[in-house]
Amino acid sequence: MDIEDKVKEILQFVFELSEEHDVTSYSVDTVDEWDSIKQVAIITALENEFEQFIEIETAEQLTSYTKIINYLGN
Amino acid sequence: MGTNLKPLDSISYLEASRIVANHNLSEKIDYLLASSCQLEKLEVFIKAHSIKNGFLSNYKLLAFNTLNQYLMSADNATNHVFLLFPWDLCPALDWRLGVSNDNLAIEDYIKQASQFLSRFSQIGNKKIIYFDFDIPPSLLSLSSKQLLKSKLIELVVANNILLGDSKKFSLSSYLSFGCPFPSNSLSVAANQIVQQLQSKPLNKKVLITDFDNVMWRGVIGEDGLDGIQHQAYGTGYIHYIYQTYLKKLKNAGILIAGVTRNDEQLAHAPFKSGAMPFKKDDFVAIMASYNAKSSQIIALSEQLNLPLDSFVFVDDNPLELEEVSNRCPQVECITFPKKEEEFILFLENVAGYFDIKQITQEDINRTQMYKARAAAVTPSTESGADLTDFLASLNMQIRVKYCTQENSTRPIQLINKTNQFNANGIRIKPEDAENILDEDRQLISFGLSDKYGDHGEIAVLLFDENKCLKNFVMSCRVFQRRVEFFILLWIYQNMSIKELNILFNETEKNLPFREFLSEVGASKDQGTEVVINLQQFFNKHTKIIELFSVISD
Repeated sequence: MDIEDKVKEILQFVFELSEEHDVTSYSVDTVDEWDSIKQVAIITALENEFEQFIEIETAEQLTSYTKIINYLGN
Repeated sequence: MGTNLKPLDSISYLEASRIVANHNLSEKIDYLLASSCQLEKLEVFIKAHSIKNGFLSNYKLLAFNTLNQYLMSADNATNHVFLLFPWDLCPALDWRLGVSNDNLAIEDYIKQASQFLSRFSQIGNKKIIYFDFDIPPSLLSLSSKQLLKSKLIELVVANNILLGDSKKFSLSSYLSFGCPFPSNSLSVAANQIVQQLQSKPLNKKVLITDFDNVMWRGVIGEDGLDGIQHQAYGTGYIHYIYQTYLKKLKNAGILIAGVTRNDEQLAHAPFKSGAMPFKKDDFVAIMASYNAKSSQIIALSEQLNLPLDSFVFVDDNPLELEEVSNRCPQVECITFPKKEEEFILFLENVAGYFDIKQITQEDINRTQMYKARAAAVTPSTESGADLTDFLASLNMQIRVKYCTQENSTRPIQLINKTNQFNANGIRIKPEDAENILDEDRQLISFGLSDKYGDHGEIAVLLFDENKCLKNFVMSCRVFQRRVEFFILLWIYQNMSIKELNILFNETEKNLPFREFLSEVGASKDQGTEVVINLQQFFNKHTKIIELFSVISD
């Protein structure tokens, strides 16, 4: 699975969406359900799947699909 | 009490999420998961491990840092699982408070810890797991710090508290999120919680052990007596240690039985030299057969008149473990580790099922007493559990390679060393290997990988110019995966062969191949050939194709 597929699946699971649901435009600004609890779940998933620790300052910035992809791509 | 952890049962976040999304269970266990830390990160892993163990976890969490308040008025009717850390036992050891300026002695810390633990005595329904995570340098001497940690462990063990896996502590995660578990150890921690909920009994009486790659490194049927390793050096070392541990268990009254997919002669051969620490006489029984291991275990249980829930089964092959676990869920199945660094945790896991505090004369004589009963066991021919769902979950990939002269070395080696799944035992001589592909012969090899890793090249076919199969071999490492069935289907689909002729010869060791021929309905043709009607076979077994995806080399 590539990075984008994994991130999509993570967001679909955290927000309880089907695998067809397009999450590429998801962000904390556009999705009401994206709260601090969801943020912790997303960061946990990213750390586990990509085997890295994400510092809290960075974790607070990863608030959209695009930002997550850009961060992991670097 | 040792750790009761299954070392290899660690799953990723996405694996856990898929398990949670796709279950159809309804049985719930309600409980309170109580800790002074934030445990939300564990949620998906706890849910997934619970589902893997056949139930749904319906738990509540305490609010962060409210454990002490809760203990003042804990509800006795509630099922509890407590996770404790050094800073719960001794508040001065909490990283979040910085390094304490108090000059407490070790005895003072232990007194605090004892007082804290005494608060649990009034709580009825509880399981407690203690994680011996690292502590701040509140004691200025390193040796005092180590002594304090070991005394805290001694105290919790004396209070019948389970020790959790403490190798991974994340100070960053604890300081930032209040959760001391790093993301790559959440699965392990969650698994320990779930195992505690299931309360496996510690009074096992029988340990059943596999042989190949468990009692020794290697496969006796392929590597031979000189190729297997079980000495106190080199690659056989952990197997040597394992055997010495089995000896200790046997001398303490635990019955040790062997179950192996080999014929009897082959299974007994390594013990003849007397060089191994565990002797043939130390076994209460050795069950050697090519049939399902679950059937052998059930037969032994009946003969010894001991219930299946008093059995522990050790094997390195996840398929065998799954088969036994499916058919005999009461048997505790434990994976023998492939890596040496997992061996200590494996031994602790096994030890957790044999809570031996004293040994009597009756214990010492137990194996002898049961041997007469066990001698009456005959290998069962019953088929085992249906593994179709499990096989589908393995994500097996087959790599098909039409070999050239240049890359024929490994396939020829496989033909020359495989004994059990071998159509005729015919070897390729060196002078013939050099022109193996002359006269329009085709050499085709199959490699296999799955979620457990790459198994390398595992099967080889050598066709002559008339598309008669002169050699058909498959490694016994991949038995039970239906690879041999898939190969027949592949031949039908890709080689335009409707009736497959195979050069067959019965050898001393190729019983597995003979049983395969019987299972696929092969019939005798002229001379030394057998024939398989691939069209009929395809019609009957098409579904097996779905278990594999194919990559061509």
